[in-house]
Amino acid sequence: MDTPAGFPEYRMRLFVAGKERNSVIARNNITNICRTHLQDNHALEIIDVFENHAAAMAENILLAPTLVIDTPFRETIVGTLENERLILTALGIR
Amino acid sequence: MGLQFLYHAAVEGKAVLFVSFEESAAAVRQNARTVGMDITALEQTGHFFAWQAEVDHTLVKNGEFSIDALLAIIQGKARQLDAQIIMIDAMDVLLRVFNDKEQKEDQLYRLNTWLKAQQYTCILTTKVFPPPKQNLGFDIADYISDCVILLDLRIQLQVATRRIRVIKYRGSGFIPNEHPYLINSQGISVLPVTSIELTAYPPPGAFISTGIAGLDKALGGGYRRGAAIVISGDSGIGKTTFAASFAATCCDAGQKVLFTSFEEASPAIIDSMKSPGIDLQAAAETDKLQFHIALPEALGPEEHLFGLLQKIARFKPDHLVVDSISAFRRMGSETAAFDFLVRLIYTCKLQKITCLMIDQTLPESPFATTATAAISSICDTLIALTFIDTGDHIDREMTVIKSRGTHHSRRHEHFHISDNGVLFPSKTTAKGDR
Repeated sequence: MDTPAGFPEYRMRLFVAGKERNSVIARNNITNICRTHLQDNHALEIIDVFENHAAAMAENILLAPTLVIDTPFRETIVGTLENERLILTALGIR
Repeated sequence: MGLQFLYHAAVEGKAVLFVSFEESAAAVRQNARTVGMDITALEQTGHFFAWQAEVDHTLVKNGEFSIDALLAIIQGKARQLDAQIIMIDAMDVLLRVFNDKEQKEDQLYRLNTWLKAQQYTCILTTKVFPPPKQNLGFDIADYISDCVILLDLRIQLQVATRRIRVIKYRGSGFIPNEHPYLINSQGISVLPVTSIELTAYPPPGAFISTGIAGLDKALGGGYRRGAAIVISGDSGIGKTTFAASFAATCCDAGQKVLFTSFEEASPAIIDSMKSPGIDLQAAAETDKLQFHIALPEALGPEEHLFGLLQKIARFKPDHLVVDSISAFRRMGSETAAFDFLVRLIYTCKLQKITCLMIDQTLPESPFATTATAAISSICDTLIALTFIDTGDHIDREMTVIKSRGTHHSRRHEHFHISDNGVLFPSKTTAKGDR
């Protein structure tokens, strides 16, 4: 991304399994969290493992959905991401 | 075992995918090499792909999830390789991230449904829980799979034996018994004892000389070719001399003899037979006589049997001498010794190899040890050698307990060991009918 270093502050990738139920829920949850708490200060990449298995393989993503937070702290969270506070804690916001 | 299946499929030109939760691709290559499989070459041609899936046990759980990403990786990679055969090694490692048994089972069910939909052949390996709960740990795995094989390593009297058992195999008339198997430089070999069909055995063949004139007479013509023969007796009575007489005579006649000893090295055997005038040296030099020497305790019964069968396959002997079968129990339990003997005898019968076995008796059971008793029904000829205390000296006696298909002697026959081998004096010394 052609942006200054350190921006956006929050970079993450969500590995989903196509239209599988848990993946759809996780995608909705993380999109909501980003819109509500991170506004423009984030980059969220959605990767469908069925379309890009090499990306999943490269990072040993075996479970779906998996949220990989790259910055500010590296953290891996699996599941539907129901618990918003847990995500915010992982991002260092709460 | 799974790896061997994969390897052979890859050698036949099929592409295979190996997913391991325990070992790196390098470790898989290394392991394969120790059992004689070269995976590197297959990897270069694109027939074999090994990948280590590392499970991150530090990950944070937040809601429901599944193994779909793994399935996506397998599917993607399998398409790339055009692979239909997949092995997932140590699946239990991944399932550990799921909290309860139901979730674990759900994942296995998901995997199974998906594999079937994709029409992949999949080998799944997982650890078993120790007895008494000896199923796969996941009840569902037992019934969703088409074929379940249980491998087990157990220690009996300090000897380790591997056992394989087919628990289920849909659409197959499988043998449900346990079979011993072993792993060596040629991979895995399964040695089923119970699959042998008795009807397949040829009957014993023509009479052949025992190398001892008096014994030929007592047996009504000699041993039968391809027969299983046991000579039992006390220590020092001359069992090895009987066997060596036979070996020397056969070699003189141009036949090949494999002399297996679990007791002595070959130079010691050759040397000790010089005193009763039996020359094994000449036969050994012309290669008509070969020795197979092994220490019973050195290996488990399966390794012993496999080593001996390989030797038989290479040398293709006409006759086999085993000195002695009483040493077999030192390879493990009585059961293991029995298994070994039965398989050896059946193998010899199938290949029409005469099998002459020596058995060391114990003072309390002069005619047969447990080893002989156990196999007596499948032996054609049983000969007992005993010491007789006459009051002022010790005599030797031979009794033919049975010899199938012959008009054999039923007398106690005196014999002595001279400088010219075993001699039976004329009938007047015999003690009468039994």
